[in-house]
Amino acid sequence: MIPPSRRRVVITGMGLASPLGLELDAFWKGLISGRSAVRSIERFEASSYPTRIAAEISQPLLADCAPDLRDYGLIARFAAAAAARALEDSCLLSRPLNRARVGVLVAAGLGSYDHEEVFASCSSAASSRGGEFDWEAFADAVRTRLKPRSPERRTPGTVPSLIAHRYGFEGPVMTVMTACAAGTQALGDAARWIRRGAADVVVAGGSDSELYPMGLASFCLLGALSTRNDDPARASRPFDAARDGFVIGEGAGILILEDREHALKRGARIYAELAGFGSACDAYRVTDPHPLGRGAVLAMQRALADGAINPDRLQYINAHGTSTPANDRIETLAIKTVLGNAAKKVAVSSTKSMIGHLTVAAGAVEAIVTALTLFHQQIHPTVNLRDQDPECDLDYVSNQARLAPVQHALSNSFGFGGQCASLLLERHS
Amino acid sequence: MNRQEREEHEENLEQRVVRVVAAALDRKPSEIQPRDSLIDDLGAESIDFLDIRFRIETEFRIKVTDDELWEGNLRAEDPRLISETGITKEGMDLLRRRMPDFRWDRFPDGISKGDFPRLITIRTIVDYLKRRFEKEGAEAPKSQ
Amino acid sequence: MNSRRVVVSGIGLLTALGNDLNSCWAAIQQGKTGISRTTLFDASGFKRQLAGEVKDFEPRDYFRFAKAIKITDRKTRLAVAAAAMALQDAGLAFEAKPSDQTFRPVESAPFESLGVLMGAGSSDLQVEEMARAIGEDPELRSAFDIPFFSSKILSGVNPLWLLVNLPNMVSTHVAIQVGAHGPNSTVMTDWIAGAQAVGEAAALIEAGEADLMLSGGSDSGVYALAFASYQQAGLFDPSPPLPSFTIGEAGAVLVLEEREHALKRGARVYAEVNGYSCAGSAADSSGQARALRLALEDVLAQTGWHAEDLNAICCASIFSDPYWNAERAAIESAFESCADAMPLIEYKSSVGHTLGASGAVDLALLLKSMQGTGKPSRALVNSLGYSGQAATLAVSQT
Repeated sequence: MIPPSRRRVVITGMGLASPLGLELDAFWKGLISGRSAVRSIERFEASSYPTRIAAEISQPLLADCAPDLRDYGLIARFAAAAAARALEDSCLLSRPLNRARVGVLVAAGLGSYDHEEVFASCSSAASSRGGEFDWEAFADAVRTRLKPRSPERRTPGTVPSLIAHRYGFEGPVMTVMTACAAGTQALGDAARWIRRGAADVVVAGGSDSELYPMGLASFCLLGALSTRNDDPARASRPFDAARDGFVIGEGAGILILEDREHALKRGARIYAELAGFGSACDAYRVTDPHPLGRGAVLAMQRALADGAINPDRLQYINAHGTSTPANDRIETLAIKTVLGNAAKKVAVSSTKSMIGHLTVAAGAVEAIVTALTLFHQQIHPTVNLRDQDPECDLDYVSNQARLAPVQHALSNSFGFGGQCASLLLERHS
Repeated sequence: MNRQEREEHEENLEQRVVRVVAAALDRKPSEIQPRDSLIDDLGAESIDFLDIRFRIETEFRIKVTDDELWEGNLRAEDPRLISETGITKEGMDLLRRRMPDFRWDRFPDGISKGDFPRLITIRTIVDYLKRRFEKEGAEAPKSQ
Repeated sequence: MNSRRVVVSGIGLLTALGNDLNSCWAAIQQGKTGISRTTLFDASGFKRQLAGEVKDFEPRDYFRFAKAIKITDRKTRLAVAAAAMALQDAGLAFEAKPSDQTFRPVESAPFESLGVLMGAGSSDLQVEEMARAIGEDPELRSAFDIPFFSSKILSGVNPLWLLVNLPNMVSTHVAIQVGAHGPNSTVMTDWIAGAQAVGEAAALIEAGEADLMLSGGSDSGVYALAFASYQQAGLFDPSPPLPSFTIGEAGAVLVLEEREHALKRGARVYAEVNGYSCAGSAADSSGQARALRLALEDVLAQTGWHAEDLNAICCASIFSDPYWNAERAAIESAFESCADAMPLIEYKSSVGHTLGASGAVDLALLLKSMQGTGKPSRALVNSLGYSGQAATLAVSQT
């Protein structure tokens, strides 16, 4: 039962920086047409890596992403660019606004020190003295190489503060880090702020870019990535029998979450309502999902219960759908557990099939996609689904978008360590 | 090597493999039997396989690809032993002869592709290394 | 309006002063300091060589499944240790060490709805591991020759490298070790992360999303890259009479519990969490003063307290470090004429600035001090972030 006094949360603006572009309309059209953004990596020389493909934001578009924040790194820039577009989209700033009631909650990836800083310093420290790490040499090297004020500008905690500072927002600020679930987590936490009255509006979402030499290496080392380098556009193939890992993407998704009364009063355009949120942990293993998808099941159930919606009233699930052998199978099982017979009637599609895995930003960009699904009453396809895995036997909207009445939708995100988050969106009428 | 030297060498190899696996899985070497399945008896998860492979590579100064450690060998031996979905009947018969003390009761319905990692035991790792060194005409590099 | 209330029923703490709450508190009462020369790494190349290190810490004493230790960093280990102690302190059924070493999935977890919400800081990137992989490199090729660099890293670094660095693993390792399936998240809002995690966890309970939460912060800033960045930012520059900024490490976890739930099981209650607020601002210090003032005023409005009701304010800043100006200005604005009479306390001079853990460390020590008096008392805990953020928690003991 939802207490009648609980404030309702709606989405009144959205902005993104994505491998399919920076404009919301073009992004959505790209998804509907089944366009893949996965290509050979251009950001740096990746020819010696086992995985040489990614969904990058192209060089010309990078220039449009908050160039004044160059010192802060791509993650901050993507977030700032997406926030600017979302705020513009919401028309929030075109009228008087109590900025002490506007919060910022953005999940931000760890990002990188500049390659030269850390690795040149490591080299200096790799001593010939019996292989012992030379701390003094390291300190010397790091001191001379670290760009001024660079490190603290690259911690996740800076990102929401940057946005708050840019617009003079004085409400609460927070950054969460639940790895690949963080983008969804941020939106759920932001909704909680509005519900309990800590803010009336929250600029919320996630931003990440792990496309740098050590970032790519660290995922390659885990064996998590597809190595289908000769056919990039078809590498990300969630639920397909020949899937072999995910493709890294990058970017940011920012949503303007707003108290419903506040939004209605100012005549805001409402994309959808954030009706529920659920969070849970497998508490099982570090990377292997629980064999019964325990955390995923709990997260989805909690989101549905939070919104007081029965599973049979769902029409669409935007899956986590990474294209790894384990996730897609377990997520399918979890969906069937939560929905029972209703699972056969629900459409499931994976945005990652086209834009790859945006890691910390994924949940936020995928929430944007889910909101657009409700807004346009249209479902984007899961592309590259040629030979469906027999263990993945739901309706994944394979290869072709469809028009469909969608009233309620879930968006799932699951992270390393079994952190699971699920968002319930409802069509605004 | 003569027979006695070979036996000593093999025992040493097994000890080293046990030591490496014990370190990765936080166990005492004395708790580990050669026939123990890394997954079913020693509780290994996916990341432990990555870790163990890395430690084997470091200890023996070789490069190991995932497939080699198990599937690749069997397939190289005779392609009829492995099918698209798992191990064929011929393959099962061969394995039963080769690994008599393995816990075959764990696989009443045969062995599917997904089960392959469960077949990796201390002994299969040792056998793999022996084959590698024989093929490369070398002795195992000495302990660091 | 909302009838659910939140109490603290267990505390686990490791700081430079000791490896449990009682030891830390005893050391504070004896006026001891935990600051000493670093042993975790050689800091002689930096302007500061002192830090508040946790001493004689053996993770094995606290991990139920010890296999996980190899992929945990220092702050994750401190978090698991503090969480284990907090649960025991709360009298919740949990064995710190099972006799059976076999790793199994936790099928019959006792805590299906127990959540974990931790504040944490960044990782040390395991530079020793990377240096070992790169090896001697007099021409520094690794810095500009990506194929050279990648070949070294891909063959020489343990493949689990990334998992050790991800700060979200602080909360997930805690959950795995204790078997907690409830809401799970990690907050990384730099120095206010710990306070924020506690405040958000309390809000979750109040909203009915959980009855039990493990919450707090863990961080270890005692590594070379952290020292380099703080030195680069000028925090290590001595400017008498201000004392230098000293980094510390800590794990601080509190068991937050819905009040009726705690009373029903006869739990010992340290205090109630009465309010929490957080505000962002511009990055300069005047913006931070305003942020803290907004947080203070909001908390006073939430609790209905007035200045004269307060027995203590636990300050974020040591009384004469750069952040004190902002904090003092905020306290003066919020409390006006009563500001001078405010009893102010702080703990960072004993344990160092524990970064993402600091708000939770302060809260843990404050609650222990309140327990000591045995009298009704009300207190606030302030937290200030590096980027101008501020957070305040309000607690009371009856």
